[in-house]
Amino acid sequence: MIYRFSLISFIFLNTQVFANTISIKVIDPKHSAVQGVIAYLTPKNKNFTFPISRQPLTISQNNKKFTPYIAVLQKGQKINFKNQDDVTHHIYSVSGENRFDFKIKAGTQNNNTVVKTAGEVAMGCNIHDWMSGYVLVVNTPYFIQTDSEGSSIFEDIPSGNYKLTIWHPQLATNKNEFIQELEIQSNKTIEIILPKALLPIPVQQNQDEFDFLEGY
Amino acid sequence: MKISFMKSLQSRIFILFIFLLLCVQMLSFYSTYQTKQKSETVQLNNKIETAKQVFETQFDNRNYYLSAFAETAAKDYGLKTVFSEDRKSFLLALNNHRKRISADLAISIKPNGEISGQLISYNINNQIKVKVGPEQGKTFKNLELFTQTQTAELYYLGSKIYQLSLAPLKSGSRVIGWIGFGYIIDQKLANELAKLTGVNISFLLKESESLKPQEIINSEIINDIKYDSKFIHAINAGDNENYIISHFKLGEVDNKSLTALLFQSKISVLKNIHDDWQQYLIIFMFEIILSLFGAYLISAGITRPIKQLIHQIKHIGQGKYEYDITIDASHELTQLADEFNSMKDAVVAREQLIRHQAYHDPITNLPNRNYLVERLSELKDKALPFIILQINIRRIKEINDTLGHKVGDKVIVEFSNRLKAYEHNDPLFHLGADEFVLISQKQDIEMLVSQLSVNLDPLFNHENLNLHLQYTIGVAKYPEHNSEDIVDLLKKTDIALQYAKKHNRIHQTYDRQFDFNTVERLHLINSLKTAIEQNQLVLHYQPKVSLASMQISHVEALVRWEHPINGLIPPDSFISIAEQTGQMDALTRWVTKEAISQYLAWKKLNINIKIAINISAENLKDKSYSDYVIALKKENNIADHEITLEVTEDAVLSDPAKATEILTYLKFHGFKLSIDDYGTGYSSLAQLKQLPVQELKIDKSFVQQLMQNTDDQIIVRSTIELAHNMGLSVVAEGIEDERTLLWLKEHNCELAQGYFISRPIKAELFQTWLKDCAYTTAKEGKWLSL
Repeated sequence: MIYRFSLISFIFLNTQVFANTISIKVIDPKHSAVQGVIAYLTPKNKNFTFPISRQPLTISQNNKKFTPYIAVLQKGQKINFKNQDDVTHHIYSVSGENRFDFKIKAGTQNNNTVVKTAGEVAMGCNIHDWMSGYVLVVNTPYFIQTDSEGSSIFEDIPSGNYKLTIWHPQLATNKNEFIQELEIQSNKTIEIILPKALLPIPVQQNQDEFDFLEGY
Repeated sequence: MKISFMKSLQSRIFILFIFLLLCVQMLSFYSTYQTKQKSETVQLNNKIETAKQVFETQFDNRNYYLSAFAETAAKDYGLKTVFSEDRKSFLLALNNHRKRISADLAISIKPNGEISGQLISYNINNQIKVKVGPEQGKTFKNLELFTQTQTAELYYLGSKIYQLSLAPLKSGSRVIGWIGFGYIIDQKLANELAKLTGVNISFLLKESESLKPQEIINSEIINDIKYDSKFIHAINAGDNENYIISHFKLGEVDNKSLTALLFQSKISVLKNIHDDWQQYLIIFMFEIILSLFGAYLISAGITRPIKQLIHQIKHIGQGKYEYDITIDASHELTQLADEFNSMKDAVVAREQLIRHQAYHDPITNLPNRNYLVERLSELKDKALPFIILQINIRRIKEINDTLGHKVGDKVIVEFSNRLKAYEHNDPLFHLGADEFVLISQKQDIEMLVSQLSVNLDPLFNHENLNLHLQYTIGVAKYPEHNSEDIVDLLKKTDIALQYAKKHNRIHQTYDRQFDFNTVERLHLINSLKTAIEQNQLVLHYQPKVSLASMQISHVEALVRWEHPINGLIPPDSFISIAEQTGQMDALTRWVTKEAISQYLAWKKLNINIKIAINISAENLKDKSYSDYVIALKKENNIADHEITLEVTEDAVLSDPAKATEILTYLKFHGFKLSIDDYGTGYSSLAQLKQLPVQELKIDKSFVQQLMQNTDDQIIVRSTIELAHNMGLSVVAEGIEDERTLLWLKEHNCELAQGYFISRPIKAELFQTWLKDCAYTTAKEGKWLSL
């Protein structure tokens, strides 16, 4: 919701100059709607500068799961980890440039993490192996995530040439991306057909037989 | 007792048992053998199967161990954090993990396939060192194969084969790289697995197409045999049947397949079974021997009571009835023994009855001849003197014929009862019919006989018919009359008995002389003919005195037999034989011829003496003898009345008419005829009157005691008178003293003959006697004139 609000405020800022609305629908080769994929537009113009959102992205640890599983944020934005469980989590990311780790006690928050490099942040919990979450760091303010219909809408996109990138950790392509060139002059509705269906999303659930742990 | 082997009951039982036992044994042996064969197969299969399973488990365990460890190590946060840090830190961390499971190989791979780290352990001077592998920085071949499976795969590195398992390093669910650990497949492993499985293990690396392995890693020295590669090739190809083998495919590496060959020699696997089998064979042989022995004991046990039975029954067969048959055996055989016992008792009873019957007379129930024979043998052994009396009831045959056998038997029984009444410890025997025998230790025969006569009441009353029982006794003495066979005593009593009967005596003791009439009679019958031919016969002459002149005017020719063995045989003995055997005619002819020739001889010597010859009934049957003697008389010109023919009354009586005819014929031809032994026969005066005889010869029985017996004197005197009245002259024989001679002379007897004058003597002796006149009475009588 915070993300939504920030997006709307961003659009409002540029509303008088750019007024293009781009609707996209992502489907797989079997024409099934693909939910939860990240789509972001990167302007071709290199000199393009964006304002950084000061609003932090909140990722909860709820019921020993990263919620949301996939999040997207703009480079330089803060992440606020919020432990809603009654156990301690040891959140880490050991790959890529955005490496961090810290422990977060039950019911506390950690908002010290600032992502400075664009790219994927694969997160895990060193205590709960099954927990897995992704944050995609993008160097653009134009990013959305598809709904259950596989649809989403870019609003207030200035006209120009863009690279549309579709990303999902279970998209079995190079760097988990699918890129399309896109020229935006007016409102548009685009249907994007992914070259592959998504791999099954790993279930963030204890795979072992420690059922008794569920109740603690 | 020899029984053929197969016919013996014991042998049969023995063989049957042996057969059965052997059948059972062989069956047992067969099944044991089958079991052994099966268990061999099972053992072999088990061995190789177990080995295979152990091998598989071990190998899988290594796999699992590697996989699990790689998995665990990949989750190590420390390792994760340094994976993207500097290489040196990561390799140290990786080596730490490697050391924990003593892996021979540790490897880390980036998601793009680049080998970011590779550590290989190696052995130098028994120290394990680690070095960076040659592939570090290069691309990992076949990453897909390793990442697809959780298990370890084979990895070929520097001509060595490793089992290698990779596990992903993850950040959350994002794979950020791979780490892996591996164990080398080398001889050490082969040895360890061989030790665990108990079979030889070879790792064979070969091109998938070719059969021949290129590289062999073999476990060393199990069973003390070092296998060379050629041998292993053969085993691998299954060419050696002495080995059990099993293949286990381990996987592929560099287009080559790695196979584990498990093999073991069958002998070593089956060693225990073979040892057990040998032990079983020994036990089996022992069982066979025990079976034989047991069968022998059983068969002997079954037949032992039967043998006992046979042994004891043999005893019974030999007549030993004292003991009952007792055997210690089964119910049936005991019953059989009891049956034998009752049979034996029945046999004993029957035998006693038969024995009684055999030894006793059925009528009188007195011991019989068999008993007597046995008794005589016993008495002989005692060597005590005894006398044996054979008592014969006379005229039983007449009673049987007239009154019937029933009465005869009654008489016999009654007689036996009377004999029994006498019997004082003296055994009495009934030889059958009218014959009884009494054996007595007493020696006085006269007294014994008189005692018997007291008991043997001669009267026997049968249905108001008085029968007069008469008996005759023949007596023999032991040992006097004993000969070789004591049973001969009975013969002797019989002879004595016959003699007594003949001479009308109540009893007669045996005399050897009697034997002549009986025992040697048969012999004499045969030899008489020879005697006549061989001149064993001689004539003796007894002179007759003419009482008127007291001259020796006549002689009687008497035949004697000088038997070469028996000596001089009296005429009584052989004349009756000659009569009965039809040799009488020949004998008389010989006597006649001999007497006549003597008569002629004396005549030549001027001894003028008339001669008398005895003729028998045989000579009176026809004229042949008459013609013979007439011819002799004519031939020698002998005057009439020179030859007297003496004939007994009996001889005439058999056929008086014929006798009369012949006698008349002889008288006609000038022979003087004389009736011999006058007075003993039954000739009637009427018959006598008709006979053409000139002379009577008074029997010596009337003459011998003439002086003592007045009756005899009456008879002789009246006979002389009768004869004279009938115109016959009289000869008296048996004169034994002078008084008799003188008495006869006084009573006008013509001729006298007897021992007082002379015994019958041989011709030569007679001449001497006549010449010498040694005879005193003759001298005194002055009747001798020569």
